[in-house]
Amino acid sequence: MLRKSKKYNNESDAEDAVKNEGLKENKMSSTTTQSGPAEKTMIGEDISIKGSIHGRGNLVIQGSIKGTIDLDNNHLTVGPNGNVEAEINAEHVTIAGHLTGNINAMGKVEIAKTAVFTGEIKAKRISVEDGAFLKAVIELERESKPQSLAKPTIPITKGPISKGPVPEKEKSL
Amino acid sequence: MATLAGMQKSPKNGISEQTVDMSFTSKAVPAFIDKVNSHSLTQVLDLGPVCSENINILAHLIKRLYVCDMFSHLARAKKRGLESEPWWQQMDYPSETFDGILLWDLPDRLTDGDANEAGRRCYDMLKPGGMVMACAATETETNTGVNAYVLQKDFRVTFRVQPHLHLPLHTRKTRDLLDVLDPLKSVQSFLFRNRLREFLLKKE
Repeated sequence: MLRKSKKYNNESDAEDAVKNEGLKENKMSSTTTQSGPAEKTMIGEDISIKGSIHGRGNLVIQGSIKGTIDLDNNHLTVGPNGNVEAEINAEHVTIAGHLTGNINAMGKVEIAKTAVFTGEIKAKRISVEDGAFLKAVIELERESKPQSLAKPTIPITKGPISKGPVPEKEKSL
Repeated sequence: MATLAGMQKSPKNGISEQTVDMSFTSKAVPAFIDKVNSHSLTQVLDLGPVCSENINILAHLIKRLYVCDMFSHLARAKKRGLESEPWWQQMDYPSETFDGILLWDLPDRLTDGDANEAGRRCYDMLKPGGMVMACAATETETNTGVNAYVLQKDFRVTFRVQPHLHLPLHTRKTRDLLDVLDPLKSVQSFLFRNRLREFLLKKE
């Protein structure tokens, strides 16, 4: 359910949020669609939403969301205070807060060191900062067929060992 | 002897101490990928510290890459005083899910009992014939700092200190390490000039 909004980045954010507040819970499919491509809608820390969000603008979440988020070719950001449990479809996704769910991103997923993510990520590219906590399944766009990678290797031994000779290549260094 | 500690010396009086180049070219990782990538739906679990480079390289080579950062989980549990809780519950994947598991040097961060539990969990989660890649610091390593093993495209490995992770270090002789990872069976092992050891283990 929508509650009082507290923080907005700028005037347009505030306007978008005001529009959102006029809607009934569980349906926000026409709330954030007025934003231009460079504009973004912010859902503030004190806002909690259960339901589906659909729009054509960028969205920043600092509050709590449970449901589905479909932003087509736009950017979703889960801020450091954001807490999201959702199925997500967006062009780019940035996570700095808590997110549980599945992400389908046409572009890049960025995970900051403050993020806690549990779920599945399908994306073209991904970046993850050291310190982020992940329990995830990751599928990136990849080349058609995996190639054989193993170069000839020089094992110390076959089977359990206590300690073996140093491989020639290493030993000679 | 070079040790991983060489990577972690901080500047004194504004003068950086000379650090030892500990990088090496992994032999176990490419062999591991080659062995597990026998079909198009390969599933691999990475238990190591979250590392963007590794995710990007591995996820382009493997169909489904699972990441479960046990280092971070252990450090968080330790910080909250929950060390006595069964940490392995985080590894709650069904039996015979994975073609391969990247254990990295997680056993070095576990007591014998916990490392043995990790070995048994890996064994359970692996499909028959599945592989585990593990590594271990030199037996004489004393610096307890946690490093990420950062993969480059040619499988060169560099170390990156993880200052947010504080975990005890339990180094072992090779024989002892393989004992605690039982019932996984060692099929190949490598010793590098930086004294780091890599192992390929298998579920038979």
